[in-house]
Amino acid sequence: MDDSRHTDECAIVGFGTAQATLPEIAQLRKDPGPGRPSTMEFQVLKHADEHTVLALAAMLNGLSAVPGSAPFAEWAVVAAPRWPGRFGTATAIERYRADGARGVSPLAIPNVCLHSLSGTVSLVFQMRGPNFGVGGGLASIADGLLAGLGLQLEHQPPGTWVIFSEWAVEPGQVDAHGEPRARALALALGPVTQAPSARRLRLRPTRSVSPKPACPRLPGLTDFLLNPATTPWMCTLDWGMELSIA
Amino acid sequence: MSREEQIWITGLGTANPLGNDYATVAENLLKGKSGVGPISDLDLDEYACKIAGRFDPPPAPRGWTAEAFARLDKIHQLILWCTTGALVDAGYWDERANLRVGIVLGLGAEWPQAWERDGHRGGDWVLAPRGDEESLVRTVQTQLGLMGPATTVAAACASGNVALAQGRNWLKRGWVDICLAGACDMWVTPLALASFGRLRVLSRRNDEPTRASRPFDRGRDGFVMGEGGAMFVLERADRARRRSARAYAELAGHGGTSDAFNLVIPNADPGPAAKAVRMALGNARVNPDQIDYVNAHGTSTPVGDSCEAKVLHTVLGSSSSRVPVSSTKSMTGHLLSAAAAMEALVCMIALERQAVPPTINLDDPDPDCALCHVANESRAHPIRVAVSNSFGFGGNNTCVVFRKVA
Repeated sequence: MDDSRHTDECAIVGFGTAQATLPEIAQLRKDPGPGRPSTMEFQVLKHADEHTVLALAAMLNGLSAVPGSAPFAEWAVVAAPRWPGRFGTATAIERYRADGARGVSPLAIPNVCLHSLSGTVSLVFQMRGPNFGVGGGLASIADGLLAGLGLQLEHQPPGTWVIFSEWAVEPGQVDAHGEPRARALALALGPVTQAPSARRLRLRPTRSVSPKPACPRLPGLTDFLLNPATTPWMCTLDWGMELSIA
Repeated sequence: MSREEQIWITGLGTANPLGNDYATVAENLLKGKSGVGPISDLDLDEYACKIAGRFDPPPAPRGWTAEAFARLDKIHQLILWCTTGALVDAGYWDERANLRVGIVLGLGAEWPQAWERDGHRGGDWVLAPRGDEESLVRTVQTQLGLMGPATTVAAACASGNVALAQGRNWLKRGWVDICLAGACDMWVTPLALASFGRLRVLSRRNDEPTRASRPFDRGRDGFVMGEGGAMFVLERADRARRRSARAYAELAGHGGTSDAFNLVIPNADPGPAAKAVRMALGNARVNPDQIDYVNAHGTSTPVGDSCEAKVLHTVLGSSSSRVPVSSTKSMTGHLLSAAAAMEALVCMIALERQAVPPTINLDDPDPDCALCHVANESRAHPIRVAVSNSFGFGGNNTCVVFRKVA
């Protein structure tokens, strides 16, 4: 193998979080919270995925946390929801079974995809850098961090929002108990030079190799960010590299 | 960029409406053959659109028995066929376990498609998940015995370009030795046909399937869905040169922006999309007057095609009257999240064959889409730089630049 690995890093210049149950997400759909852009039309959330609705709430919390906030017009948006589009797909299947093709909403497809969240965030907050979805499965946290880091370092936008959303336990999950609660995290990445004292997201080589794909959960990451510990947040990947936040 | 920092494409695997191997696809593409036909395996009585571009089922790839391969979902078969084919084509099949091999798979709706397939079989997976479901890209990574980062990316119809860009990023950062990047999609399903149909973006020219996809033509009435994929092996030029590898092209640059205008309607203002194209050209250090071919996004929708024509006029300026443009969705249909990967393959064929593939069914060019069209028949043309535009839902604008390797 090439010995070309080194440490890559960028700054975490701000973040916002949100968590909600399904009924609370239904409320957020009607009113995502204070700080809503004046240009935002409520219609945009009418058919949006639950992950998208919660992510917007996290974004609203995160926007004001970025020093010197705005303009975000040229920022990139990377979204890494876990299993996006499930409720919208369930509705489409149900309506298709009941009413055939005419029962399926024209806005079903645009709102259940892996990129639906990033597209909606880009639209609502008028961010015109690149936007895309990444991951979508068990490894969404690592996938999102890698994509955001790579984009920030190579594409060099003023900043990159990396947005995560997942259910602690999926609603309806087999053998699950208790009321499902979802979490979302909007992480603002920027160049280290912009925020030299900010926490850093790093990717570096490691001798320890995880025997299986790294699938960290969102509560661990958000708890670390909300309650900074002396030990960094770490995620050992299965290919000789390690993600960390410190 | 120095020669050593260049990223080359040295292998590919594909299955698409024009064929399941490079030579067949190239031949059909340059002949102007349509891969669109009637959809025969779904009951579509109440649907407005009953046609699509689809591929012939590929045989079991290396490492699989026909029986085991046949048990997999078709999208799983497609991804395995394309990734295995790319590794074999690049000469990395036997060496793959000794390298850090990344995979970036463009696929816009893996989970909704899986839940829908299950639903049509009578299942309720969408309502009662297990909570440990693994993504296809990870499953394929394990099946191929690869060690490296593996991820799915989605940017609607631009997913393939985003995958190529991300693979290029990984190589430039030194995170991988080589990278599989591209996209696969199979969404000709009852729900997708219904939803797109109700959005009124699909062609209704069911009586003439091969003439239904007609980008830039005055008679266009919507896009035709397609299925298929293409995966590519990306590696640094110095590595490829050391092993005397054949290069299909240099992946010279990419650019991406968002419209921030509407989730499904293209922006009439060409500014954001033109910026994406200019970013890609700047990234590749190419001036607009150095472009030899543009593979347009050109979906055959009334609004989208005229918007793209404005974008190209904005970027090309006076060169727009001489730079050949075609939309090969006229032959393949619109492969949705695999479209950009398909069209990357088209650009590589154009670079290798030194010929511009045509926009077929372009009988009456729309004056709102006045460009240097290559209509209905391919044209021999010296091509050193090819550009591929892909735009998508979510306001995604992307562009990738390919350069012929000397």
